[in-house]
Amino acid sequence: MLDRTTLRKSAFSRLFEPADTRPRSLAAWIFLNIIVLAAYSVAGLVVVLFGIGPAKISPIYPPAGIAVAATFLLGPRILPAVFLGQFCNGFPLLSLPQTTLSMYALANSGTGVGSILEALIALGVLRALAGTWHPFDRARNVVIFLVGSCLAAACVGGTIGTLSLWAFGFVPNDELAETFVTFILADAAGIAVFGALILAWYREPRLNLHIVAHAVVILIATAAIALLETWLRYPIDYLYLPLLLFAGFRAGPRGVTLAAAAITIAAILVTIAGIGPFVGKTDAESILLLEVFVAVITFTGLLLVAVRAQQLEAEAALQAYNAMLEQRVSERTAEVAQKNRLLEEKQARIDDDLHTARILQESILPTDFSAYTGAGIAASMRPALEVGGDFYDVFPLGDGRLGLVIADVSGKGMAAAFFMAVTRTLLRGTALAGASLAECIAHVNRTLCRENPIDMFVTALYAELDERTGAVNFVNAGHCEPIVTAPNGTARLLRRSGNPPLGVIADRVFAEHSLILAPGEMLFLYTDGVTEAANQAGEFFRVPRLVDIAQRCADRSPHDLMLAVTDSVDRFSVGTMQADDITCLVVRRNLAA
Amino acid sequence: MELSESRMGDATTLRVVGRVDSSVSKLLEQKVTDVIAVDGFIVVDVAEMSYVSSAGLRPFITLAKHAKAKNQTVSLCGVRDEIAEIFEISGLLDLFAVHDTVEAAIAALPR
Repeated sequence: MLDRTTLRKSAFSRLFEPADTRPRSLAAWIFLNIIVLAAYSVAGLVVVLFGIGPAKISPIYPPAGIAVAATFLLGPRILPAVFLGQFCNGFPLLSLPQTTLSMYALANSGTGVGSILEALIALGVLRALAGTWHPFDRARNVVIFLVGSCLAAACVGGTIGTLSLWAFGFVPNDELAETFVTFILADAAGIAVFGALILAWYREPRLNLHIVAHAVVILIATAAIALLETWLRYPIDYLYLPLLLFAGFRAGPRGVTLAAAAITIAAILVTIAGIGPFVGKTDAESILLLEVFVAVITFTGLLLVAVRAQQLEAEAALQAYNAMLEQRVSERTAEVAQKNRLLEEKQARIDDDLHTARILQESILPTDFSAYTGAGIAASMRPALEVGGDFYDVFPLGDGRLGLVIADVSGKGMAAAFFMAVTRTLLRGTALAGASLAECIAHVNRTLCRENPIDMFVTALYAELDERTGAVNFVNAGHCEPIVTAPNGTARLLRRSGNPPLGVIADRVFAEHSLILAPGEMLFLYTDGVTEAANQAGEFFRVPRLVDIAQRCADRSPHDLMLAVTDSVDRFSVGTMQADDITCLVVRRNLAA
Repeated sequence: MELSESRMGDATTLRVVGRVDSSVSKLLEQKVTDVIAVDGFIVVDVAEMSYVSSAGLRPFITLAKHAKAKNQTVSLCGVRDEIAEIFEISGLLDLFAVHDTVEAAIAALPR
């Protein structure tokens, strides 16, 4: 069970929690107390050096800073040293003739208690309001430290101390008010300057070349300004300000507290020498002027480093934020790169497939026509995309007869290529199985109507050529009108006769036509990729242009005619994208046949 | 080429104006697919269609094939002589019910 004592105790220990909370043995505590007592006493002796006027009153009381710093760092268990130190530091009183031992003991017990309360209040206020034992990182904490831990705490310590001395006759009635003010301000200055100095250097104890070099520069510059002031007798104390700024910006809290301490000591010593702007009409005035100066120097310096620390912290936060953003961006970039890689791989697979399909498609288009001695043949198919929907075919039917096919499947791309392969194989298979021209076309048409997607159909011209007689029987199923050329330079179109494409009407009977190809005459078959090739003006190649070429090449080889056509189409449509597959099949009945 | 579509009762009228060739056949094909998706009769007004190329015929074939599969009637009206000839020699005229005007086509629709 958690009782109230424990709670109070923990609240108390939280309020006065020092920087160093390590558990220590009694011996260690006694040792530390002796060290602090020694430091307190030495500082008390040194104070005499800063004494101004015949009364040797110092405007600053460093032991108060040592007491507060020791309490901040080690906690209330160091307070015995503070009490004893303050008790002993009253030793000059012993030289007064009226001092008795009991008076001394009672008066200095009072000042000792005042010092203890001062240190406790200083720590408690900062702990309670700032939640920390050092005031250097926040402007708000600097104000809490200077107003609470220095001024308010010194008010308590100084009041108790002054009243103790006055009660036992060490302060005359007419000096009570002056002693009161001096006591409080000297304590406050002692905490602000030397307390802060110890805290700052305790917090960052590591020495490096940077801090040592800056400390040396600060000390030398302070001494130089003080000496210059003494030598020239000019009031040049304002030169301390840039030095203070330099210390704060370059060396942080350690630099600023060192500079403040050095400047304070220098200003006091120069004033003791009767030089400078702080020499007042009376000693009390000098002390007050010095204390105001010390207050301003300390406040400015500590505020500067606090604001600087906040700025650095904000910069660090911003940098961390930027780093996080960059991290995010690089993560996203990596993600995108990964996705792109996958897409590329996928695309590569598709390209690979398309390439294979193209090779397959090319391989089913015949290219060697040397076996047909009675006919000269040339053919080409150039797809608009990787694979095409056009095809041509030439196959022997026996008895000197040839099967000739040109066809154009609706649509383009993979679907058309697939449908093209189906149609080609179906037609060739049916023809080679011995079906008549009419049977063959009817069968292919029926099959394509039955077994294919609704929007697929194919325009085709299937012809049977008898190499010996030149007799040509053909069915034109919705395909472009073929051209027949004669060696005398004439060319004519074979009119279509009302057959729809294959794969449109299942029960359709297709009209059949026949002609005799005289020796030297050529049958030129093509797809609408030729006649509807567009130029940059959007005009089409058209049939008349094709007939012209056929006439000009009527006495040339089938290969020449084919090249003349494809070259002419290329020249016509230069600078445009090929929109449709371009296919030609030219058959000439040889003269020798 | 210009296309416009209007609806009268359960008949959709598609008016085709200008040249129909490979440069516009894709567009017409898309329109035809949209029209087919709607149930009912389809009337294609080609009175102002000045020219149709081999590639331009393809959307008409697609239309006829779809209509046939769904047992829909597709009427072609205002067919000029030269256009009629192209349809005729391409074996496509049989696929359509041919009328002089849109009104006549709609009047002739089975009720």
